[in-house]
Amino acid sequence: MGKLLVYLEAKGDSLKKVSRELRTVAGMLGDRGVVGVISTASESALAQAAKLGLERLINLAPSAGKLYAAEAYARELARIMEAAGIAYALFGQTNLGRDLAARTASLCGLGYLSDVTGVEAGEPAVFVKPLYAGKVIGRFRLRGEPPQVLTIRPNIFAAADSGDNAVVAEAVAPDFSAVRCALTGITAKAGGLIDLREATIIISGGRGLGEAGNFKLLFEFAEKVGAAVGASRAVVDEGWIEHAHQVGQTGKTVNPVLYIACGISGAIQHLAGMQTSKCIVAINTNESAPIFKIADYGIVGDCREALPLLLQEILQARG
Amino acid sequence: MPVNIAVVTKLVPDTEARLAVAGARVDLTGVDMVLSPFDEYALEEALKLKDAHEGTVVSVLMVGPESARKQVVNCLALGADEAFVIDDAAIDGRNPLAVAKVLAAQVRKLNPILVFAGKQGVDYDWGLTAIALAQELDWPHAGVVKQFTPDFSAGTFSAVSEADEGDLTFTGSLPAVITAEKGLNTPRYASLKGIMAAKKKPFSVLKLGETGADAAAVGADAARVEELGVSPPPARAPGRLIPGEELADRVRELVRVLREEAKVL
Repeated sequence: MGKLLVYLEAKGDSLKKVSRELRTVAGMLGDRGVVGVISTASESALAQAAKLGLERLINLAPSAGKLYAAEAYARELARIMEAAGIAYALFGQTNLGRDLAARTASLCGLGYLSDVTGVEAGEPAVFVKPLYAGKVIGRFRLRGEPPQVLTIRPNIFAAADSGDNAVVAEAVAPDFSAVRCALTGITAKAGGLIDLREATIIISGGRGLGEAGNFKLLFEFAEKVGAAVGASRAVVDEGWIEHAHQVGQTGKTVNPVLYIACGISGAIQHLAGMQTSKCIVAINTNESAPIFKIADYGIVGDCREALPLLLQEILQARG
Repeated sequence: MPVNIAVVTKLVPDTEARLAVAGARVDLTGVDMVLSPFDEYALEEALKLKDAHEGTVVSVLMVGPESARKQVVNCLALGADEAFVIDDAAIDGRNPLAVAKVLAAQVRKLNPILVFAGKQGVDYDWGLTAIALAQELDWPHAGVVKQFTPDFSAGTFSAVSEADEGDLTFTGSLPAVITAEKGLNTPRYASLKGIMAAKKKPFSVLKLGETGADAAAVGADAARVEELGVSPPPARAPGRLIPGEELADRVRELVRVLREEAKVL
């Protein structure tokens, strides 16, 4: 039974939540050594990673203009996996997590499953993954020689806490000499908006908002309540809001604790992307809108009028 | 300067389609098949470069059924110059690593400086084929790109990708594989003239042997993933409409049930 590798990611000075979730998934795959790999210049993020119950922690230390390169990092991971005897390498289903997972699996010809949402331990383990943006759920096994590569969907598994014991991080300078494409800059988002995939509450808007300008109601709600802003494909295609906010089959698949759909009728490709939310609220003027069929609670009414009232009630209830 | 560009595509069920499960498999009988939506952005980016660089040749590739002719011919109607559909039962089309090997064999013959593909096929959403193609070709790749700027004379490019930490800027050298995110561009519609012209453009249906890919590496025996079966997602318990005379009453009641019943606020 080989060891496990978790590829951890930092966002600024914090470990991403999905990285803590990876540690939980590693635990589900049996009691075996876990090697952490991270790439961060933040001492604080490194210290958080070091306390995740790891056997080793390797930092692929980034330098100016050389923040990440799939080619170089995949080669480093291949070396680490071989030396440590890794059975499964786990990545978050994030932009860079999936990028590196795919390049590593390609480089070494490994078994690969993306966007895993369920693990049934065993030899071999069975993995669950939504297909067609969640319209159906598939169960898979990997075959052939280890290691195998998995990317794990954020917000599904519990986040592991940091323990008291820390490992000492080993710094490795990735070899960029043969790299032909590298991450050279990151422009941080303005306003510290919450990521849709990791959000606990999502407030999402569709055509029922009437016009692009009314998204300000959602952003105000998001800021004051602590939510992320989503959108239907229809309004993204209209140019009311950036594609980064789109929820659904050609956007993001999300699973928050609370999803509030405002003026969204519920096209099947939208429903596919949010139907695993724990609690769904729909606000729509059309009582026969499909969104009400999957909503736990529905309000028939104009979301433009309901939103300010909802915000006020929530803030009041929270005191 | 004129260049060769390849666009890699996939046929998938229409995103608006409902999918039925029969015998632990998805039943695609009667389901409309479309070009994977992200591939439309890949194609448009190639066509934009063709518009800007006279003499550029855009080739569309697909590993898929010959029945994809209609969808692939539409790519020609939009402005692509030639199309190759590689249809052979000896290819395990469900294995991205195998599909990448077949595509790589054909891409090498076209000698492109860029390959565009959708960031993932909206079926199994692996997000692996295009990156495996880059590895197979021994090229770099930039993934999930929403902004792309090549410099053909310098042989370089920059690409912007959106992540939760912000916009990521990649710089690299050509040739390269670029995977397209929605928002990269606005795909055009086919003109009547384009539709007429498409009928005369080269359209080839190839067997595996004609690509030169290694049959042993792309068959079912090479698969590393075994699908045990599929099922519909768990049904949601029926919900209810919140009662109340005035909207304000309904909203107040909603917040109460979200706090007290659902305990999500």
